[in-house]
Amino acid sequence: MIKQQPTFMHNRPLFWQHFGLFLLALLFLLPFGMLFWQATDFSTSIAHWQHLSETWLMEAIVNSLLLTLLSATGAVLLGTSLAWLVVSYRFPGSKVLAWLLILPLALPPYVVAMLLTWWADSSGTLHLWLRDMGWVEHWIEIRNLPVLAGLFSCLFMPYVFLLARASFQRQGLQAFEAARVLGLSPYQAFMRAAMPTARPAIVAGATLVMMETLADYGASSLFAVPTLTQAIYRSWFNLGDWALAAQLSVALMSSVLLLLWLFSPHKSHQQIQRISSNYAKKPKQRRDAWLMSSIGWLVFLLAFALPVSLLLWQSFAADVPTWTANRLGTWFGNSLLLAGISASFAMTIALLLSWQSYRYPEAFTPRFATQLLSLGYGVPGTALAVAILLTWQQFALAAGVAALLFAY
Amino acid sequence: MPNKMPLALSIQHMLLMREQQLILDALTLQLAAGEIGCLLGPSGCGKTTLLRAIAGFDSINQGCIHIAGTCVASIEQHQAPEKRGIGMVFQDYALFPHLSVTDNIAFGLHRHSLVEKQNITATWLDKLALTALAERFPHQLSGGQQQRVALARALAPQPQLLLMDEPFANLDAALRESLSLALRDLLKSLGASALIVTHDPTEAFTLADKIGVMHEGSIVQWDTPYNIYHQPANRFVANFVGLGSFVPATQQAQGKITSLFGVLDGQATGAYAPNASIEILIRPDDIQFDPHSPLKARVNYRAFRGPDTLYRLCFGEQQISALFPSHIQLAIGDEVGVRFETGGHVVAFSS
Repeated sequence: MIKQQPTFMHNRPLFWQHFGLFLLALLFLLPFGMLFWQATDFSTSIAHWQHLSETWLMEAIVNSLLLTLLSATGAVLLGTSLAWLVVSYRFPGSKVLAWLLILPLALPPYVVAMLLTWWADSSGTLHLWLRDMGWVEHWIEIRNLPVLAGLFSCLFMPYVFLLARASFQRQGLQAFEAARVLGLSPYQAFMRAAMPTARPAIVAGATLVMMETLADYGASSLFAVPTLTQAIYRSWFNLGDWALAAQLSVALMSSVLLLLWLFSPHKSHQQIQRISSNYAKKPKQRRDAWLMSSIGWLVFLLAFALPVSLLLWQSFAADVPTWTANRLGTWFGNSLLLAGISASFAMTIALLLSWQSYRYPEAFTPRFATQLLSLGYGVPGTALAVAILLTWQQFALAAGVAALLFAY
Repeated sequence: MPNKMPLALSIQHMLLMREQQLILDALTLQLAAGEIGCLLGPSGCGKTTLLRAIAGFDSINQGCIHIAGTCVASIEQHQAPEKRGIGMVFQDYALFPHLSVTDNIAFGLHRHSLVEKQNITATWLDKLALTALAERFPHQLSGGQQQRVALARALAPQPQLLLMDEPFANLDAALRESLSLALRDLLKSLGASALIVTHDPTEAFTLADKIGVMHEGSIVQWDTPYNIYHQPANRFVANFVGLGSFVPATQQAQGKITSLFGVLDGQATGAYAPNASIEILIRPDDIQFDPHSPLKARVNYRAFRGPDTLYRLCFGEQQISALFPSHIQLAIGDEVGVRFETGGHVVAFSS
């Protein structure tokens, strides 16, 4: 990869720039410092640990592990195959679909989990309808781990899809064609040339999916599947044990960091080659085209269009009293305000950092700060909330909004 | 002998449409076994599409393509790329980033035994001076080295036809000429048949036995490099492959042409009625520096180019480009004596 470095008058950051970045890093590290400090306090938590390990801690760990693995596998299968579909074939609506398939990422998992519960649970609308028609006697319980993993797979699939798509476009398609000319069938060429070139991207996508899955609280609690995040909340709210919450948070964070390290791109010897392919293959027959487009649209329908339309329908069908409308407005406003302020904070910090690392590519401080802050994405919100609230508590500053902002 | 060998590549009346648009139109070409052909044309003329149609990545809408005597594409038939027995070097090389140089070269040898595979790969590493780089990965190689790996990978399975898409587009200009000569030597020593796409006339002249100049989806002339340059089939070819000026003239009887430079010896290409007004093509190298010549011109522009200098000469209103050896130094405004050497033929177009 050719990288052009700009030349500037000063090749080293000035003192105040070092200092500013240092301060930023410190501010970022502070909550974690507090978290670790709190986590060393075992005075009350020994008994609680015993209680937990006797009851459902093991189950939570096993569930978290299983959920992470299943979700990642599902997301990789879905994301990779759909990415290859939209990159290497032209079929009716393929260009639109390439963008629509990112949308499931916009749906919060707990909202979809809620919809699924309302509609498809044993007391859900769908079951009641079907029972009234006399079509079904027994209903299958859908609130379980495999269904939850399927839900995560569909909603987090765009992480893999996006990264794999970019990689296929950049080099996978040409590698595929090169392999075809060298005598491989389409299937062999995909498995032996296109897939391996995209492997780092797919692994990166899978890591993001695993991180999101580990960090989830809402959907798993709705589905009553005990996970590590719920263990944190329970020890915090039910047992009132801050130290235990901190210890569990540290455990959760460590597993995320372990994930990041395991799948770190530096460990692979591959690098991106500058390759461009402007050509896309056309399906050989019309039949192929319809099959392909229907697969793509089906995934979009299930993972985005159906939940959203159910949500919209339910919202409009519901008899909304005025007070709810007012409160809804307040909630909506809060969410928007929070999102807006977080976005501007995040953007300012990101801009500052990327400018600094661009300006001084060799300097240590900007590089260190960037790496440190990128880890922030991997920190589960639950662990972060515990960490930040701990910090704020210590400083006797009760400003929940500011704490939340920081978490983003 | 040449007639007994099947043609390496034969394309007849081929037509290719994409999204209701005609990309390639009534295209015909024939490449003998062991010959190197070049497809030359500006970007967007369809030369890469033609290469992809031959490779089997695009299906054709009319006509047929034969590779080494076998029909690989027609309206009824579309043979998959892996069955066509071709080798291809892509513009960006498309090396497999996850495989070493050795494994890249061995990739196409899946029908051979392990020992054969190793032997063939070793031969090619040696042939293209890649042995020292055998264990490296593509991102650790320079552009020239990547190109050699791509070439070795394409040639190792002994394809019946080698296709190359802009082989020198990503390399330094300084490297291009020596590399085109080396490529030609290599292909000739192997007796390989190749079709190479390029937009650079100099590259095509160095490499090719036959050049096909493409314009708007068809081959306007398929000929030897010499004929492409000196007997272009139309004004497009004349302009595309080199500098030249069109000068009004009249075809006389008995192989004489009159123009503002006086009477030139030679027969105009094409049939023109006596005294018909035509335009003749004057290449910069058709004009010789001759201080004793009665024909005088005035210099109004010069550009030093190293071994030679490009001048623009004025004969009254008419301007003509001329190349003189570098040692002849003329200033703008100088009067210079010149003489025409057309080699017995004059390229003419109706005006």
